[in-house]
Amino acid sequence: MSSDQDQLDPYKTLGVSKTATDAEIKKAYRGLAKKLHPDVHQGDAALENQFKSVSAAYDFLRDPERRRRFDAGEIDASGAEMPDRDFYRQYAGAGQRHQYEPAGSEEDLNEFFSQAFGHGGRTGARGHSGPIRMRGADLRYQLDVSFLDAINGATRRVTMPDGKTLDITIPPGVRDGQTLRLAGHGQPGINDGPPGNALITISVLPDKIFQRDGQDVLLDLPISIDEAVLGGSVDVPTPSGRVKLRIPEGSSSGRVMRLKGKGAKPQKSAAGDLLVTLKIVLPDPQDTALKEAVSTWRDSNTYDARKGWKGGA
Amino acid sequence: MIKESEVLLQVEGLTVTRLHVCVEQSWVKPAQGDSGFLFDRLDVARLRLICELSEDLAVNDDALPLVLSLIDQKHSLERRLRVLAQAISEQDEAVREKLAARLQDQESE
Repeated sequence: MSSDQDQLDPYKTLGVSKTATDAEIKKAYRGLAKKLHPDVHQGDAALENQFKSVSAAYDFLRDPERRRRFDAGEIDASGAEMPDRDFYRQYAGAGQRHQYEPAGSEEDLNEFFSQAFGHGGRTGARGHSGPIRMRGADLRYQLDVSFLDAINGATRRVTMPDGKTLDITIPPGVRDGQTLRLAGHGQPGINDGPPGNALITISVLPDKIFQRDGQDVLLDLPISIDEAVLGGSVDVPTPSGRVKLRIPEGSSSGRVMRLKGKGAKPQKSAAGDLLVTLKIVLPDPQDTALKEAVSTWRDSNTYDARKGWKGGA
Repeated sequence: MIKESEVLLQVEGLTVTRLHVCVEQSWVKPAQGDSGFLFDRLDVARLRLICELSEDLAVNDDALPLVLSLIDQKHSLERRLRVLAQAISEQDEAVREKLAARLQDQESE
């Protein structure tokens, strides 16, 4: 191991003389790097530190200008200390599976478990007790479901990554992020153990007109000013088809009409409702007839729309 | 994520040509962004390793995939050994003692 003093002298770190040629320096560095590289010799902190010193020394000396100035005593080696750097193993060996991990390693793992907990090995004095049955691993999938399929329920045939097809029953009222469990559709068991489960996480896609609040479904319904004032019957979409909705006369914008049982209908709890919020839409402002009619009306019929409103003065 | 131009600055000795070889050969698998490749820190560390293997340790391009594969297999095995060690550490003391005794036998054989 090199002393602190040696580390300040890149020539000593690399074990070359001050008159060494560039080729000699490179050769010395390569020789040391082969012995010390942390991705080849893992787990030895001393070697790693030495490798850092050696790389720093090499990087230092292979710059001719820096080497000249160091030789001339203009700078010292610590002035050119390399910043702390990352080694591949700090990421690749960090704990989680990563994209460069060899494919098929999960199958290898099954084989390993099969050996560890199965037949084989030594019997007799050690009290070998026969194979241990292991449940197969669970497999996780993600499935996009349309808004209406999530409300009404559906059956979807999907192809699994292993090529098998699976009919998935989406229960009515399924929520975004909910996980469906398909017993027995995971990895096969080990030593005749039961297979794992397929766990399917549902993503509910947004709808153009409906929104969701628990098991209730929300809808904004545009109505005309005459429908608002005089009332009327309006054709309204619901998750289970179109229905006629009666608008009471004198309905303000924002009024919520509740259509019982027209929301999600989960199997194990009460059905949700469809909550229709009325939005009054005025006609084209070029149409002056309404303007004139309202002007005439205002002369004798003005009212305070903000009466009882908490924001009033 | 790190852009190609930034990667070239971060990894000493890496040229554009060499970077593209690494991607074409699938030694490094960056994400595809709207305007070129995007690298994460694992990719950058891997590129640095590739540069050091080929420049400093004189590993040629025919041997490089093998070396990378062996390094990745080693990391994979170690990761699984840690999973196994964790599982063993969660067992009852009697089980752990038996295992320890058995493994010591194995080592001394």
